[in-house]
Amino acid sequence: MKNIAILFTLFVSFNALAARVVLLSSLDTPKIWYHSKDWEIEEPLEKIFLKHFKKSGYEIVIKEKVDQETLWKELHNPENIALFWVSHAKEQTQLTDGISNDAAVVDYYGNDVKDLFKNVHPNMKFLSLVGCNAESLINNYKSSGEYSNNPNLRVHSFDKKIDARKGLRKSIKASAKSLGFYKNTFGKGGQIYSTPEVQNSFSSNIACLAKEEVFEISIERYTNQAGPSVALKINSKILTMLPKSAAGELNNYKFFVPSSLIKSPSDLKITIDSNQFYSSERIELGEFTITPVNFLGKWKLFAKKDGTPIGITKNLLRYSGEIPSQDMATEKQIYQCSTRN
Amino acid sequence: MSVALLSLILTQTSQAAIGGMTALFNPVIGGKIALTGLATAGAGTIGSLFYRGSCGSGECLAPLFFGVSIGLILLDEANGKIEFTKIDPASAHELGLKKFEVLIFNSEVEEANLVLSEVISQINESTTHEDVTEIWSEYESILSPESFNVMKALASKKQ
Repeated sequence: MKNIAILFTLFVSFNALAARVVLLSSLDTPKIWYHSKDWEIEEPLEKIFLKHFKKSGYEIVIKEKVDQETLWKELHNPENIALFWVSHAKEQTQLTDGISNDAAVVDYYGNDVKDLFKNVHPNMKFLSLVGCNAESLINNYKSSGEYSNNPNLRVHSFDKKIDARKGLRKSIKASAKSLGFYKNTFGKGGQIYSTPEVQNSFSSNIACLAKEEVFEISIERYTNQAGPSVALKINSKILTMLPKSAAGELNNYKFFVPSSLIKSPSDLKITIDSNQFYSSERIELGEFTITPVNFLGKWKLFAKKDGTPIGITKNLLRYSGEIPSQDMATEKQIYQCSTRN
Repeated sequence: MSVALLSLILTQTSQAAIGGMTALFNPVIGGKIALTGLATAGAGTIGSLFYRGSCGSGECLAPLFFGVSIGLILLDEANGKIEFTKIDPASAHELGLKKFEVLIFNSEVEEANLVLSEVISQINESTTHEDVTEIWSEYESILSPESFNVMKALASKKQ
């Protein structure tokens, strides 16, 4: 796998617990006639990012050819104050009432990772989606309340076709309001500088301590053949990501469904999604058994009569049973407050 | 242009292979072909979905190629994926549907999209119009009659 993580820890000597600014890129490099065949788009992206943040006081993290598991982890890393994602994207177009050409944010591996951006750690202050025409997508997430636990989050993207390097520069500049200030030094280009106020408000943020009423559910996954990482979703909202699974592996996981998401039994339909943007061949995701921990209810695979799952890149488990009553819910702190304990 | 031609072929000879090479690589075209087959499963007309904006006819590729040639790395995802979306029950009448049908469809829209993905996956360069209709008929009983009726109405709706 070409997923090489490069970690730069610069200028953090005065503060070992500096917040992190993270650049994640996930795209292929097209052939450009005047570049050598070894040239890759990640090189200029890294240079731009380093140049702008080297004096910022933030810990700089750069990862390339990022997969969806890494993206999910970084979106939920409590140490991240800003995340810049660079990949291909497209906006939704409504073809007619009830039929759309869906929006997409497609990574290097052909996964549509747009749903991952619906769930961001409440410590994050700036989220940039550097991709073509992704502005309406991210703004819709914000206006529909996906980031209601994080009122200070600023999102930034583009409503047009954009070049990767130009887009990243613009997004970095736009992040200054959330991360400190931007200073343009003649001949040296612009730099982001943090301020004590921003660093202090980040380190003293206690939004991660908030608790939610959740229903606890366990899931067993058996993969006859190697299975990809999958997202568990309710109404396109990701509850958790399950890692890749080897052939013959049996794994058990727990996940939590916020009671606020459940208004009717159909809201407990669980989609198991490889997130692969398109495949003409069925992706074997595994066999899943879902068991509620403290309420009654059953899930059944949406399948043909012979048991073959219906769905090429995703499977659906339909719920039968009553909506669990509120007293079956438990209070849970959803987000980690630190990974540095 | 090639999209318009595809539609023309459909109306002239349903025995012709309607997928063409584009359907193999472009899920939007595959989706539109699938919807056309759905629209004509039973009563209905071939929709004019083919004429609506998408990158399927290659119009998005021109700026991409131009961009790369001058060194731009445009972050444009040229393809797309056709999906059903929930409908406002208030618009049921406009679509010639009953409100309860729309409500049932809205509750089964995920199932509808999974079935659509199954149908699209079976479309290739040799698929005929009859084939698509046949594929849809295999899946008809999997969905509720109300949802299937709404899907047909959406696919056949004139633009």
